[in-house]
Amino acid sequence: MSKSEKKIVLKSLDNEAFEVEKAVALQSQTIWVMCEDKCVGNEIPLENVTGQILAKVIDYCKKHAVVDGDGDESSEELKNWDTEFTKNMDQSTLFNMILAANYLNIKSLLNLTCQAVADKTKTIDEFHTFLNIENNFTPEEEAQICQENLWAFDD
Amino acid sequence: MKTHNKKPKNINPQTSQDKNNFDEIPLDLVIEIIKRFPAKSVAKFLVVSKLWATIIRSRDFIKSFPIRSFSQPRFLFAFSELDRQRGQQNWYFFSCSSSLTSLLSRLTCPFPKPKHIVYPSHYVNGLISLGCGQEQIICNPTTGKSITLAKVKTRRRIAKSFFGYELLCMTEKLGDAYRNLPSSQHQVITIGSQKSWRMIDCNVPHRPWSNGVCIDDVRSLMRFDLRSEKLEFFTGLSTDIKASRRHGYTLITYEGKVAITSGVSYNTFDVWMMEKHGWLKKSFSVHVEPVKVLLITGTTHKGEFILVPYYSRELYVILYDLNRSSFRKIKIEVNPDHAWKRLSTGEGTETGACVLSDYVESIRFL
Repeated sequence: MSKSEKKIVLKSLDNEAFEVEKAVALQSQTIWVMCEDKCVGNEIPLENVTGQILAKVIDYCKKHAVVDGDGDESSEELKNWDTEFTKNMDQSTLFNMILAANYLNIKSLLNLTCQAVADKTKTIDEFHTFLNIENNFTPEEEAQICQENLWAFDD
Repeated sequence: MKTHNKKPKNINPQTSQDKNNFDEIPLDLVIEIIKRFPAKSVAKFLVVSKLWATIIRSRDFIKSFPIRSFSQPRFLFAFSELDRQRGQQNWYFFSCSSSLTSLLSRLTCPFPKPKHIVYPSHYVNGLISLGCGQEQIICNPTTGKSITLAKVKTRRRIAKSFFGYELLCMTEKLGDAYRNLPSSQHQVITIGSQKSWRMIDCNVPHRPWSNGVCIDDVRSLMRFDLRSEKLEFFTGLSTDIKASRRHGYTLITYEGKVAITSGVSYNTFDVWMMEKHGWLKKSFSVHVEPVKVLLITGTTHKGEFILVPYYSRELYVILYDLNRSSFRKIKIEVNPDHAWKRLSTGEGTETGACVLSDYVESIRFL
């Protein structure tokens, strides 16, 4: 295999190009299928992901491509790395990462980012306001649910 | 239908600008996120919208919850207090880890505990069965909610209950000498769908044994398949399990397999694991100071045996790793203000405590 075949170029929505090792990119099931089908050349356009988010996804894949398959110690190290990775992301970045992980079909990244949103959400209102969901309960219906579940609404 | 909007709280300009980006976040991803919240938050999400309430109460969602795992083991610790005057039991449930003990819920079981008979509680997927014999309640310790099962109709004097998603009970077949003893009757009730108990046919005459009754040498495992509702012969027991009849046996799941444990001495245990080609026996000992009689109460999801002292002023749990032949002792720190402290030193009340198992949060019965 020539050197160029080992590399692959990922192109973001805003036309940013990233050259990465194939082994790194193939952690994405979506890219894996595209490469299997040979329907793309060496350059893969990813129309749903911005360059800013794609850069982060690639960081994640690089880290996980190197360490996967090693012993206990490195899995511990990987866990710590994951925690650091999501630590400083704001909710908006995290949601974009979730969408990217879902589109690219990278299961472990999807798990990580979904859990990070849940861990970082301080109040429940913050979460559903963020998703812009309209409450279609009447105040009476809402009060009844609260009454039935006092254990959850007592603080 | 009248609708109203919740007052948006503490939205900074950044968030309100961003929120439009996420109007279209697919519902299945939203569900993936909700699953990762603690049970208490999930219950609060019930009032977000009708769609969310329907999702959270759906069978699929309940089954897949919780998804998050904890690096520190957490245990469900239960305390019961017998209220003789009212003829009821008061139960207190705590979740414990090495750093934190918190009261989950308290609950009154309206049946008095009978003297001299121990009715074990079964803790399965975050739900626990309490009560005795013909009267049972199923309780969710996370929420403190419970349902009372219909009373079993039977003329038999002793009723034993098993509670589970995949029921397996140790029984013994009745030998020739005991032909005139009646075989057990079996009844089943499904939570949520039926209101009454149904009689189950079984063509293998047998009586439950692992919880105390012991008559004959022909012992076997019976299996109840929840889908087909068939109670049938599952497998025979290893001859050395049959041979040692002095000790009590506990049926547990170990690394996804059926296992039988038995205490050989106060700190030594035999474990028989059901392998493809038969029973594999292993033994282990745990030495703790001061010396205590230990009991196996179950296994953690990481495959460690959970052992607790039969009687101890100090509250702790021992996790034994069979593969590494090592154990660790986790002292459970208790806030002295907790009610159970009062209970444990309580005068005039009869109390009992037990560490049930890995604590599993459940959102059933919301």
